[in-house]
Amino acid sequence: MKMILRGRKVVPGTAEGVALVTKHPISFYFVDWSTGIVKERGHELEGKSVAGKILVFPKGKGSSAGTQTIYEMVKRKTAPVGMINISVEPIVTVGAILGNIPLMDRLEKNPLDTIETGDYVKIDADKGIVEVTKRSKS
Amino acid sequence: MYLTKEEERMLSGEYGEAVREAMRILVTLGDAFDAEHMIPISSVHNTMGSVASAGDSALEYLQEMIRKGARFRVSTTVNNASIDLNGWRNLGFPEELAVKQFKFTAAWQALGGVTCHTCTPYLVGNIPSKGDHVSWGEVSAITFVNSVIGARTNREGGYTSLASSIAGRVPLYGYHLDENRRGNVLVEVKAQLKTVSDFGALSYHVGTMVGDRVPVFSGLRQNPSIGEYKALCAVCGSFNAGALFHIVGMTPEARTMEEAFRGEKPEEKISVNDGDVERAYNSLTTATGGEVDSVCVGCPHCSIEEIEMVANLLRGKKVCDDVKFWVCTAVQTKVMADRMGYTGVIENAGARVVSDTCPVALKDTVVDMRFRIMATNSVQNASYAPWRCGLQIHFGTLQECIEASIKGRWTGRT
Repeated sequence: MKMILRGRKVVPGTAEGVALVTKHPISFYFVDWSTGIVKERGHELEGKSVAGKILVFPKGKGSSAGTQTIYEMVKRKTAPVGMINISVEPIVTVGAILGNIPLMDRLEKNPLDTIETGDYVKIDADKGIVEVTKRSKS
Repeated sequence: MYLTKEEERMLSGEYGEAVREAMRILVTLGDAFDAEHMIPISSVHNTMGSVASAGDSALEYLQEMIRKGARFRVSTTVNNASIDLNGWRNLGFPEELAVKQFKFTAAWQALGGVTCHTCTPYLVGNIPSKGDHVSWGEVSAITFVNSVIGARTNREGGYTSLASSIAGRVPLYGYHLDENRRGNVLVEVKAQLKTVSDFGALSYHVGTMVGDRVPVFSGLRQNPSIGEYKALCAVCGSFNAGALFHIVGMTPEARTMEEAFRGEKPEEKISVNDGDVERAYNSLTTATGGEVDSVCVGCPHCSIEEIEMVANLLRGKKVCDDVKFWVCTAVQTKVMADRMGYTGVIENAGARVVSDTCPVALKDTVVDMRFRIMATNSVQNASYAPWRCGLQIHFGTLQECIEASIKGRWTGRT
């Protein structure tokens, strides 16, 4: 089943991949840049890797050094390939700008309610479109 | 976002690759925050001074910017490094890290940044005026320049400040706008605040309750000292908290209650008593038992008066051999502490005056340098350190930290 969601381009570009979704804001300062694994204790994604994913989360939080971590992850190829926020803040925004990671927010529906981990997602930030293919549940 | 003709030329590449890249970052950021236009800035403090926190990619980025012809057009200071640039070898910093940091420092200098490597740039010459628009980073410095000086900055990361140093401007959003500087929550302080750590505990308690809203403090009996202001700035600006507070009758945008709230009523009123401050001390302490292997004072970096206080408390005493005791400060302040004899007193006791760095700037190297259970009077150290790499914390007054260093055990309140 496919869904189209419209939203705002924050950082241009296109990307696609498997979605990783969390209701917790992410502090990239507590993501291990060599593996992409979330280290923050008690985080919904603790122990999981964001590498290669379309990362869906409310927004960034914490130290502005999170931007430095995102950029380092891009260089080490452990960064997400695309990101969707409910409403962006500067740490993630600048990391996405530096790393040319397509970033969208202000979707017409709350992405946390409509996208689930495992769904296949295509972002076209230039057109402001997110295409979600729900994973089959057997 | 509206761009002037000059800004459009900068963005199009007429002034070179570095300016174009800087503008790309600032314009994309400004559009994300619905900024109407850009504004020139008078000063920058760049948070990205530590190569350990920034990564190899940051060093490459700076070097690439230099190759593209980047030069700073705004006076810029740089935050803490990963090492003490003069004393790293004696202090046991790894040589590999030192080599990398020296390259990073050299790159900042080539761009035109002043490599004072301190989180207290306002103590070493970077002092904007009230109303100035600036681009500052580092949690406590941002809150200080916004609240105590009354200049205007958002929480700028290393890459945006770098872009601002090159382009000479920032997008107008966030704390640059009058309406976002209005007080939101009235905080009536009923607690007795006697020490720097008391102010830190207050800051922690209020930060957790107020989030990113602007607190307005009333009930303080006298102007905070520089050390107390630094402590108040430390957590009020960290995690999800905001980066601006007012103190009625004391800070520049709060000559009266009415001015602090810009004519509006407070959205909420909270009261802080001695019990709340005690509870904050407990929350900040994560270590159980009395074991201590390190003490850190000077986060944010010590002023000369704070170093004098430490020297007075350590004079004639001996720090336990098993305890590593760092008094962290800016290199300029250390020069003065050396001249005044404070460094001599402190080092005779077995502690060290460390410049340019601090445990927070070390990131994972903290583990290699064998910090495990630290006593500190710094709320910023206490809040950041446990998350970093499992460092355990005893949070207490300076007096309690000094006692712990001498006894080799924590016997403070928590």
